Amino acid sequence: MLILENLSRSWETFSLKNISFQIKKGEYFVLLGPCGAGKTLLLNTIVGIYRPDAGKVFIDRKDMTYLNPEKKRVGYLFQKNMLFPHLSVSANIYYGLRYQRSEEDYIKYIFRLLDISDLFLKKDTLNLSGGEAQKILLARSLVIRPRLLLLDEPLSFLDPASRERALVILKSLNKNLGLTLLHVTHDLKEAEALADHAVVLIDGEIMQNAKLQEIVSQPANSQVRQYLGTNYEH
Amino acid sequence: MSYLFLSLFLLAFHLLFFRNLLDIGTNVVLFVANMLFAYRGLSIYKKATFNKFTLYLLGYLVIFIFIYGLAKSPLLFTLCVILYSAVFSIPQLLGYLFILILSIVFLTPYWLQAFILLGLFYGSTCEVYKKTHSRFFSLFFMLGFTIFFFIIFPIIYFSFQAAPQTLLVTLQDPEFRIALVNSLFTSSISTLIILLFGVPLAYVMVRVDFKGKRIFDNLIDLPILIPQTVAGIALLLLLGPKSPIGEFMYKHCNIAIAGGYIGIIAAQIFVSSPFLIRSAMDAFLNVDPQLEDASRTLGASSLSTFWRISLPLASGGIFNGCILSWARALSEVGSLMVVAYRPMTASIYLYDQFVQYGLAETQPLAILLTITCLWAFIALRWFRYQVFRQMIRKGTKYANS
Repeated sequence: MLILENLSRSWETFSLKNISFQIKKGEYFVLLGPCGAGKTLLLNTIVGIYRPDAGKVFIDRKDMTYLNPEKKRVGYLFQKNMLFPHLSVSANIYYGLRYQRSEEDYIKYIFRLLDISDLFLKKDTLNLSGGEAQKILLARSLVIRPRLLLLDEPLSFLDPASRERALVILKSLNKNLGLTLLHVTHDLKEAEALADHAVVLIDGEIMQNAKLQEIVSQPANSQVRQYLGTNYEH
Repeated sequence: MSYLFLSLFLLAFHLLFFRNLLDIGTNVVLFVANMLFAYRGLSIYKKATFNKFTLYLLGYLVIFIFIYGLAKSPLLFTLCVILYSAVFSIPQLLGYLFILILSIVFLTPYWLQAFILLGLFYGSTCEVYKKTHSRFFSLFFMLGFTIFFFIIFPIIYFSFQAAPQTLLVTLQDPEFRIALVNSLFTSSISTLIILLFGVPLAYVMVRVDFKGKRIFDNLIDLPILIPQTVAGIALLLLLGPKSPIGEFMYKHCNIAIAGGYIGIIAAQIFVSSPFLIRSAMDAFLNVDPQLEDASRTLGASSLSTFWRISLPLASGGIFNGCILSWARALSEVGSLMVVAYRPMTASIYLYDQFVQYGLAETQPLAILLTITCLWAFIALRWFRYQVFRQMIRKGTKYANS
């Protein structure tokens, strides 16, 4: 589904070095890494906001390395709440439908899955809770039928209660829609709740690509061990 | 009982002392005012602390010294005493009263203007203090307000100098009307042109870091730096009748650039472009680039994203820039005097009249021009507030989150 080959990209003083991994169709893929590891930079490069300095990005077996984001049809949830503040809830959700067709039934199915009612659609985007905003953001990315969905710390601006609910929703998207997801997080517990396999990214390099149990029991090097150590202290 | 005693005492006092000093009418009015003052004082004495009562008496003394002693106006004194007794327990109004007294006594020739400004000064400082409860902010505000004195005082002062009738007569002056229409027309056209070219420039300047960007950044401000007359001369050299462009245009299109509307518009664009471009840049700077990225991942092209996300979110700031730039174009004189003295714009007409007939003739014109500009400015700002309020509110909420 998504194949990265020796992807490199530098940004200011930081750089991603030779990132390679594969995500299978319908997989829930977790990318672990501490803050400042280059996770967001990697996602931005995959989606096409930045062009890679070297390497290739394949999506659906097509070389999409230098394609602009609007041509890739990859859903992307940013770390911050990126609702368009001047548009209503429904205008936000239907934003991408001007460029990408979707069947009515599919949209209704998404709404049912995310529990979005007609009343909710009429709301103003101001004064939404974190969970509600996240729902809209998810729906907005899903209605355009993305090839895969990138999630950048999607639970970061949610309170604990809505985090639980969001985890359930994300898993059901993977299961019911057969959607491929790339979930980026710094939290090992979050990763454990979502998948059993993960890639660890530290300082712009992939340190380990293994089962989570294996990562915990046999860290590949001292950096991973240190990162896991700080993670368990929380 | 005490009230009766007090009244009798005051009556005797007025009969004995003021009979020779004041005419009978003034004396009666002053007696009534003093009665009011005394009754009020008695009730304060009964209810409040001794300090407050002393303060009350002290205030009376101050009014007496200032108005009766310095300004020598018994009637005004009477009025002040009545007002003083009425507003004593409302500190803010009391402040206004003393500002009125001070401006009458010390700034007699400008007392009304001074009272308006000082009142504004005092009132808004009170508001600042009420909001912050901080002496620091109040002091800073007072410092800042000094600038306003400097700006508003001449305008307020000269606005009071002409009678409305003179203004109406001046408004009938056909030449002035034509000049005013010329002004409004040309400045609107030049603003539209700057809008068309300046907004894309501003967007690129904010979003892209390219080599030589700094140079462009400084070039934008160049028109503010260059003296307007120099700008006029430069434009005349480039577009004037003897220049290649001017000659070509005159020969083939029969259009004279200098000394025509095109010349006026060119000069106005030259001097007013920085205002719009800077405002637009600030506005785009406040739009999070990630919103644009989000829009693009949803399938919108760069142009579509600009149209649907960046431009609407920046529209409030851009419109503000339009107002500023429009106002700047409207008030331009220096370069127009060189490039296109005729057809006259309002500001040139004003200058022309001043040179020909002097200060007195020009005053009503100046007032009318100020009123027109001010009215248009306020109307546009109000319009902006009404239309973009939602957008601005959301923008700021967004920027703070």
